Amino acid sequence: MSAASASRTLISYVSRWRSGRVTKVGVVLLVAVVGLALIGPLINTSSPTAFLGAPLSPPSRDLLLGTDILGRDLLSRVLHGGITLISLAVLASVAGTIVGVSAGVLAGLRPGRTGQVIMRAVDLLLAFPAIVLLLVLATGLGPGPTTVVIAAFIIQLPGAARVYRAATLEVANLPYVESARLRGEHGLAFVVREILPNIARTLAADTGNRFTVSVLLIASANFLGLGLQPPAADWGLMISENRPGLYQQPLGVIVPAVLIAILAISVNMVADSLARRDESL
Amino acid sequence: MTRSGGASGRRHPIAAYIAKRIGSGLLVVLAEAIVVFAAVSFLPGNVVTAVLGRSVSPQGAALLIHQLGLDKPWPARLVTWLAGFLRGDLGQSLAAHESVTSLAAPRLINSTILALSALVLLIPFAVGVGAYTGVRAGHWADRVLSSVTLTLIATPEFVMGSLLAYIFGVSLHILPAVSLFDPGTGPLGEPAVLVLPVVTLVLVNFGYSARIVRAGVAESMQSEYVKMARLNGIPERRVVWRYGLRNALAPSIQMLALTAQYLIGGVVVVETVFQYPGVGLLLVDSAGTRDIAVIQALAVVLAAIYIGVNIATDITITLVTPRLRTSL
Amino acid sequence: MSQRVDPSQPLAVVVEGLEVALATGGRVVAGVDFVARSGEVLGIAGESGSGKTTTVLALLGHFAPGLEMVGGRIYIGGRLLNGLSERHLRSLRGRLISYVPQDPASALNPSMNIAGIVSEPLRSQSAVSRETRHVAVSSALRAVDLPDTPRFLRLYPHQLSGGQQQRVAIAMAMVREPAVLVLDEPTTGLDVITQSSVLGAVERLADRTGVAIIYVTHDLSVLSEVADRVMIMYCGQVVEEGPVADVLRNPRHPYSRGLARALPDLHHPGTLRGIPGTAAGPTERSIGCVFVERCDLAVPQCSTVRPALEVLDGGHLVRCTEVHRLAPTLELSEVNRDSSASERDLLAVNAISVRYPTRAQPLIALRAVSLSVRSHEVVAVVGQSGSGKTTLARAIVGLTPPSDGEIVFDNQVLSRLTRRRTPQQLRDIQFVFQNPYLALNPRRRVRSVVARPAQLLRALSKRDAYREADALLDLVRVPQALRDRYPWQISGGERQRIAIAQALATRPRLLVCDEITSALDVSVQAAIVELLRDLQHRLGTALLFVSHDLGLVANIATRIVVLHNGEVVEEGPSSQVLEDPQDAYTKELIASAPSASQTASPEVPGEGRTTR
Repeated sequence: MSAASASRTLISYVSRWRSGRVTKVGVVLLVAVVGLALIGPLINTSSPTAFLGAPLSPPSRDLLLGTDILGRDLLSRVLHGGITLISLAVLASVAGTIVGVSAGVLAGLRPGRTGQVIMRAVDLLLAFPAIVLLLVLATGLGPGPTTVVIAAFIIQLPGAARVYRAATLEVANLPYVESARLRGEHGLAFVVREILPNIARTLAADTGNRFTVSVLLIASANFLGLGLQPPAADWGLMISENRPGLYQQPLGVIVPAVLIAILAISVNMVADSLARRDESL
Repeated sequence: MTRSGGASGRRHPIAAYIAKRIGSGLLVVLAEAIVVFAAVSFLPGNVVTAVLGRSVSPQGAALLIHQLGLDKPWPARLVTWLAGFLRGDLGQSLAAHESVTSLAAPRLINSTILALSALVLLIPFAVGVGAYTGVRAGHWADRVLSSVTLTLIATPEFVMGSLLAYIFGVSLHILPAVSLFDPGTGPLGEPAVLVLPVVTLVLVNFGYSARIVRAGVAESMQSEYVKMARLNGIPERRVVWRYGLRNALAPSIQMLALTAQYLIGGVVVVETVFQYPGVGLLLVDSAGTRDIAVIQALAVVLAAIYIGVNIATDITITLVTPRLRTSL
Repeated sequence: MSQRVDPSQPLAVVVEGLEVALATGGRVVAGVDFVARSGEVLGIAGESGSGKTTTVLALLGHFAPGLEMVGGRIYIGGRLLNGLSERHLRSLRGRLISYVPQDPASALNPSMNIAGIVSEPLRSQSAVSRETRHVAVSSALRAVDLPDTPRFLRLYPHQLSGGQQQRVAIAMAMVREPAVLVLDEPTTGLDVITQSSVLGAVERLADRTGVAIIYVTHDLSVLSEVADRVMIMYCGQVVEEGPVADVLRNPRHPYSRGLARALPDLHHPGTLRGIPGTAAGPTERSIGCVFVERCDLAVPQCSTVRPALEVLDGGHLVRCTEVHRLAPTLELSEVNRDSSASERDLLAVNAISVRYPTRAQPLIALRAVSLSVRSHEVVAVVGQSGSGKTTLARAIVGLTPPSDGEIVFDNQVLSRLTRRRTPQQLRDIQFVFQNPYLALNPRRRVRSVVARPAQLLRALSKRDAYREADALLDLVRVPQALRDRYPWQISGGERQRIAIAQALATRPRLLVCDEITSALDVSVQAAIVELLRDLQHRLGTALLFVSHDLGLVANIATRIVVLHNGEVVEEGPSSQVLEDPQDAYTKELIASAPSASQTASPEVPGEGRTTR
């Protein structure tokens, strides 16, 4: 294939990619990775924590991916390594969204004292670099899965509150909302009828964002040893555990790394296309 | 109004504004110091068992608590700690048995070198790509680059770093996969150790920055004043630079701030991946050993830098945007 | 108004048979011919969808994405534009023909000062020296009645008023002394007094420099002040054309007549009549006369044969085969202002003030304003932007709480905040907003929107409320087909009717209307005002009608209150305020208001033309 025709093919492939195929690719990848993570523990071949062979041995017929730095079955660890990550990320993002929506909508509807107090707290939290906050919380709470979920929740909460407050402010002063006030709508009915349906766009776009951020935070936390502790099987933790053996058995690092990358990228693709689709409404 | 009267009258609002921002920034740093202190001291994780192990005797525990000053009431502890900060005494590291200052200073320098190198590469790259795609918004070049940046944004630093370490360090063997060097001497003696960490930081962040710049430039290029300039025959090149790009300066400076802030966090993970002896690696190790003094001090220092960047950006944006500058 | 155009002047613009089509095939501009001479001001009038903007952009060789010129020829200053490359066209723009867009605030580069903005078109000319540039900038600014002092030149656009911004844009467009200047709705959004000064500047420009000006607008009455000839467009075609006095005082085409009847004129307040129906989009137009669906004179052949432009005397052209069936002059009916108001005060506003505390000094939007409304009465609150009229309306319903004073309704003092008022109080006073596109919850269907207030404030069951909603929608003449739809599927005029129905669902005794027609086309505006009059008669609701348009208000109000800078400057029965104003500001307002009936008035230099 000549250089010219190769570049033409590449260009047309990429432009087709952009037009909706990205979403399909993203969805497929996402389903594949999540599927692997969820079903993995069920297809269990052998125990992820048992010492089954010499450390850092290459793939063989019994151990399809070889062993990790302590001699455990790498394949089994990979199959078990995703579910905690995803469930923790889901937990953190759901909690973050619920609290973020509540705080943000409240701050938007009551911009006076209540709103100011909420936003000052938000600004204070936002002034911390995420990783620093993570480390501080880990020091205070001690490492472990609960810690990282709480940390992930706290870290993304202010960002979510800000987003929903901005969305609420955009809507709260529109004529149809003021019109609702003029006919006596108030309380929860008011929020549910007038505000929430009209910030649905933001909700959709932001939820995708939330999940992406949570996945990255928790995976990073696990990598840094602040989340799941050995001997648990977790993709992030595996990368840091097997790093010293990178020369002899790269699979211990590469496989979980690629899996995390695919997870993060596909979530991002899907979230991005959700956001773009809503823009055109 | 005489000429000199006008000039000093003008100088006052800007100086006053700067002073005010710095003042409020200091207050925020103080508030954060308190938050850090509270998080580390009040949360249930037990320092004693972490440092001495689970089977510690009550007397051993009591001795350690006294040694660390944890038996004093917390307001007193807070004040002593803050006062120490002002004196330049950041406390004692438990694990290393030396003062935090002497432990952290050379590492801070190493991290700064790392961050600055990344920033120096990142800015022209991100601004260039962002401006290019913003001006040509909708073109195939824009769409290709958008897809590329989307992929890069999503990849976490430790994944990117590990993959790069494998490809260039292990398989191709051209760069060191681990950046080991004596913390005291600094990386400049062996520049090869800087390459992979810097490249990791640049790749992961460049997409995000480029997108922000792109959005600002695209918005500016679609404005009414660009349309009017074109319809009145102003040459396209001038329209792009003086009408389009010039008015996208504010969001680009914003991007710079976000990048600098990101780097503070990114440095932590990248240093861990490559075992680069900087402040980030120190922070992570200290979290593992529950070395409270180090964590507290470094957290506040990093937060202060973060806020400082914020303030500098706000001031620059105000000075660069006529609409904001004239309302001071 | 400049003198009659001299036919010996050269033709600056010649357009023959212009056709512009969408990629999908519909014609946005379908066969337009016209000419404009040096020193002449040609007005192009039309409502949304008429194709007027596309036509004038074609003069610059510019087409919006998706549009393409598929027929005709364009000559600017004698040069044929067809077939020129984009680069060539670029070099002609600014030099031969230039353009000023609608919104002055967003049309000027926010990071350039006035000197930079106005001198910009000269910068690319390397042959022009700095001194020459300086001189050209000064003369361009003076040509639009702006100062050319160093202090002014250093200012940035955001530091200028709307009128000044617009004139700076015109100065920039004129600095290279082009043969043709295109002004695209330049005074829309400016208040009447500023508008008047900009129009004055435009007129003088044509006289002083000999430039041919093409003035595009949807507001016919503005053209009476500034244009020499006028061309009325509808659905992509020219339907009438001629000297401005003739066309505006004696419109001959049924559409132009419809427009004239819909135009409020404060010197001849008559019953306004809208034109039923809406203009068809480019792909749905009839192959015969484009106006056939809305015309009462239509005969069968109007649907199949496209009429040609017929010449009536005096250079007046009309595209209608039935034109001779209409009397040559337009009869305007006289208004019948209802004065059956009761003696009792329904609403009494007592010295309310609204202050916004801001950093430097508090912004005072309203200063001790008092007024009253009696049952069945229609009170109009008139003022320009910044006068506080919207703030007043909002204060009355509690959306913007006053800092001082009180509001009394039916002898009860109302709480300042909406949420502290009783359901009875909320029921009695309702509000209609200015922007129909944002006045209805986009996630609810029409019937639900109209029924809700009845459910909430009158405790009707869902079924009864829906039945009430249907009755109200009948009253405001919203067709059945639209009632199950969502607002985004419905036109602006219809949405405003629905908003009115929604407000009436609580059977209010006072309806507050805040500029409810400013976002609508003239023909639709008239229909809404007529609807309100009708409803007011039938239901006996008192109306507080806020507007900036004195002409509109002349039609419907029994009493007028004039607001300026947050204070009441004049108040009284309509006829008295309009015919015999006492206050200086009111007099200025009335003098500046453009009116179609004032075209041939003798030159009154300086009166009402405040240069700022």
